[in-house]
Amino acid sequence: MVRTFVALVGLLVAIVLGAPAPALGATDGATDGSVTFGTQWWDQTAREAKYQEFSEEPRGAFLEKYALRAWRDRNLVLFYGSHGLRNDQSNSLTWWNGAKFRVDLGYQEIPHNLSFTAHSPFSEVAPGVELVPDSLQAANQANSAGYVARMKDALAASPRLNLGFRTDITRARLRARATRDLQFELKGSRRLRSGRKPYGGGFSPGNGVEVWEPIAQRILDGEARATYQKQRATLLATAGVSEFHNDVDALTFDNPARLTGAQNQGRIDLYPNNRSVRGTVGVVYQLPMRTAFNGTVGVSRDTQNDPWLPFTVNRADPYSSLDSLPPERSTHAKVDVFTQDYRFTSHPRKDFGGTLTFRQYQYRNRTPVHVFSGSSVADGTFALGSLESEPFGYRHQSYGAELNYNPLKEASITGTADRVDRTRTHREVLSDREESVGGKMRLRPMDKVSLEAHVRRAKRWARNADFSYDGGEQTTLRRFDVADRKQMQAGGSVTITPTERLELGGSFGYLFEKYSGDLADTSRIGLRRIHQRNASGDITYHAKTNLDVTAAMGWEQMVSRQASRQSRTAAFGTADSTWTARLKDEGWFANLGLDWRAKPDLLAFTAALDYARWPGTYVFATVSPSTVTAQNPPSTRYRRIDLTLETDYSLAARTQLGLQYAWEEFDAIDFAAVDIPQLGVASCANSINYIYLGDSFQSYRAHRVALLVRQTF
Amino acid sequence: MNRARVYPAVLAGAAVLLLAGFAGAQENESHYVGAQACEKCHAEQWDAFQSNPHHMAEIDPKLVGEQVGCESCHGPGSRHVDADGDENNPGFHTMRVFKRMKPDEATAVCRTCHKTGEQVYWDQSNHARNDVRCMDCHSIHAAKSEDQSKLLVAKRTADLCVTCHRDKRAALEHTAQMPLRDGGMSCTDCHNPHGSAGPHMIRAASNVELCVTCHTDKRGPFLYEHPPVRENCVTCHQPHGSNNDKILAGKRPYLCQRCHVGSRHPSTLYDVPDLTLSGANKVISRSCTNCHSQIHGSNHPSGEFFER
Repeated sequence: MVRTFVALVGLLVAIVLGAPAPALGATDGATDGSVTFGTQWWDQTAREAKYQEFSEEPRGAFLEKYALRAWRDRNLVLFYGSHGLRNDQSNSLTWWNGAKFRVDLGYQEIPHNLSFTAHSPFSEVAPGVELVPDSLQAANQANSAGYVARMKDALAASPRLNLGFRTDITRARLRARATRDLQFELKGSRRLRSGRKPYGGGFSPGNGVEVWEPIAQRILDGEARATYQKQRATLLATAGVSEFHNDVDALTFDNPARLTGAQNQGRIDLYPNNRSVRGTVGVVYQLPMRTAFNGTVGVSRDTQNDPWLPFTVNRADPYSSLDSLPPERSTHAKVDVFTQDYRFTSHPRKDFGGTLTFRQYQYRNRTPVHVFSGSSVADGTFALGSLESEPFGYRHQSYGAELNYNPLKEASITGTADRVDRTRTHREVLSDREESVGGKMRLRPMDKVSLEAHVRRAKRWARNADFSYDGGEQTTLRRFDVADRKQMQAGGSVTITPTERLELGGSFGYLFEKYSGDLADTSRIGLRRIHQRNASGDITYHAKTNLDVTAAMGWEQMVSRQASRQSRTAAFGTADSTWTARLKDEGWFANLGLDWRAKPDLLAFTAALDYARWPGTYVFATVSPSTVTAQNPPSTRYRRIDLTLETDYSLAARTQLGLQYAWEEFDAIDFAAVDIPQLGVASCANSINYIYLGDSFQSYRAHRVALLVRQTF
Repeated sequence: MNRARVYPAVLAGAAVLLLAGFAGAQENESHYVGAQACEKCHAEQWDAFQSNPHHMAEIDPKLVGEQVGCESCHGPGSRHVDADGDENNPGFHTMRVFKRMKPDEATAVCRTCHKTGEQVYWDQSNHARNDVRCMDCHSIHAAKSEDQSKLLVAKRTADLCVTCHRDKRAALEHTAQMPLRDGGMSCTDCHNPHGSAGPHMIRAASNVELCVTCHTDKRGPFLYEHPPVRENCVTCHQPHGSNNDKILAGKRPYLCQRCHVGSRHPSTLYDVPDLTLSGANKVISRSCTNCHSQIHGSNHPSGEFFER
């Protein structure tokens, strides 16, 4: 793919530069560009993938950036790329041919490295089939008392497994102007995703293994768009298709604890192939008195019809046969999405205007209801009983009004009012409504100062609710995404420019959401409140013509309070004990940047420091009847510091030498993500146990030194 | 006085005055002189402009408008040229200088050509309604973006967006991210800063539709749906960054327990005793999704609890 792309780029540039010059508007052709390459060394105190989460740090020689610009007559070609031949490379080529057309081609690889330290006793014997040796299963089944020692040995001997995946994206787009009024656009993309992602495979009750999802996916997208603009009207039409193909249909995994019988294996149906076809038409119409209307209507159909797997992979189970399924063999899933968006904006006077909006999003699920005779509980026992699928559908409809008034040249006031109506199927709240009012003010009391402040209040309430949950949940539960809610939002910012060289900025934000009940109130459980606050400030100082300093710092806090009810028995009962939690996620960050061109066109220094610290606390309490004593989990903390120092020296008019040093520190303290044991059991196979891949976060320090050469031509 | 004589005289006088005024106005009105006239004083900009996409567009005047060259944006330049660099000459200041123009007037110049394609919804976009000008993000003559096709005033799109959206600066500093800091993605992959028919200027009609553009595996439709997933991804995820795995809005299992209070394990108080080995699989690593791995929906006949 990479070679093809480079060859294509070369060919295009050759075509453009070699093309005979047309008479119209001829200008001299030229080419310029640059290439940056170098060599680097880096070291890291632990093999933590976070350091290269979305990138690849090479050791030794590397190609950093390259750009080529060529123009001749009516053609301009821009080619830009970075990290060539690496796992995180990005290349783009844009070709303009006058105003007639523009072609964009792109190829990009985005890695997502998750862990370089995982281990697993499983081997992938075929795509999606992950097994442990039969001898291990047989020994564990025969002698469960020796399970822990045996599994520890197997895990210690297990090979290392890199977890992560890469997405390779190829894009092409053509934009053409047929006439001054008519424009076309064709675009397409192909994404190939491959790799491994940790995946949980559960065996009831509470046992399981962590295996990996083998990722081999293709996503194809295509869209055509036409825009026609004549006098006051602009018409828009688009049509598109998107397809998802998963080359691995299912994930089958062994249970290391047993070779035969129920739950000796598990099988998960991985994401099925699907397709979406869509179309949109829109109009923008300019009316007199600075008034405009735009309307967009869209339809799409999402379909999915992958064959079902049998109820269980356990071959001893009669429900492992396809014959046990209903006459249908697939979901025949079909959803029609209908969207409308209308906006009417008017500014009859320069100091007064407003906007009216209406938007509707309707997700009509036309998938048939499927009735099954029961289900296999995690490839274990088959639970008999009629089980119906619930094809979920919904509609969101919003109305909005906005009025703007500028009483003075230096001030503007905006008022907003919105209403959102939501209806849905198969949920405890079938419809709800949210109404909100808000205001915004912008002031420029003097040339050098600008202020902005906004506030919004909203209230949502259920209009058609049934909280019985068919006996599956506590009836006092209010799920926060559909629960009654009061919301308060506020924010503001200030920008001060005391001199042309100095700019100061600051902002704050506040969000409060209250769902229902006080914390001591046991009549409502679920998420109860969220408080979010943030503040930040920044400075940009052009100290001298050759010295720029930038700095920013900020603070953010999110506190959520929730309540739940513990019942260690199968049914709700008198032993239930309500507990509450106050979870706080807080953080500070600071950035400092310095750009000093000590001797312009000869010597320059840049420095960048990035600091972020995010502590979290978890405070629990139990509420009467208190049958358990809450113990708070340990606090968590993430911290990251990046420092990059660079000096550039011009060796010659077209040659620059750069020396770069970068230091990165990452600290993680998290009871859920650090020091995850590989074997989650202390006694025997019959206990609740889990085998993990061991992909814990590891704190690290990393140093990187790079020598770069930038050559322009 | 005889009215029949007075009216023609007044009318004639008015006509003479109007014509004289019109002629004077025509003298004061600037006209187009062509781009070559700009080169003499603005050589640096003129040279750079030769390799600018805007220069390529002017080759096809029928497709972009009759006035081409520097004057198609900066206005007719005859009086400015006549002033010959004399800033005291009123004619010197007849060119359009975008920094000094009102937002809607400055943007209107760009909109002469840029009114279709990506920019169709500009006039009713949040940016337009908040007086954001094209030049706040783009620069024709001094673009800093490494990829010159967008002519941005900052090297990276995210650096540009956070200059106004300051609260997102903190979000981008979180531990769990999409590849925004590394340049694998940019804000404009999800948002169209020129306006869209979707909420928050996103490039789709809803959050879910936007997310499944890339996370197409989660599009379904599935046999067993998890309704909040279908209705809004941001119920559980924070797309601009969070400190939880998978940019989740809260730490699992407490995130799941915001909505699930069923019997047995979903309602358990997962505190210190549950961090021991035997109970830890509900709390550590991927917590609830250690077992309920198909949380976005399942197509398995035994997948009603999203374990298969």
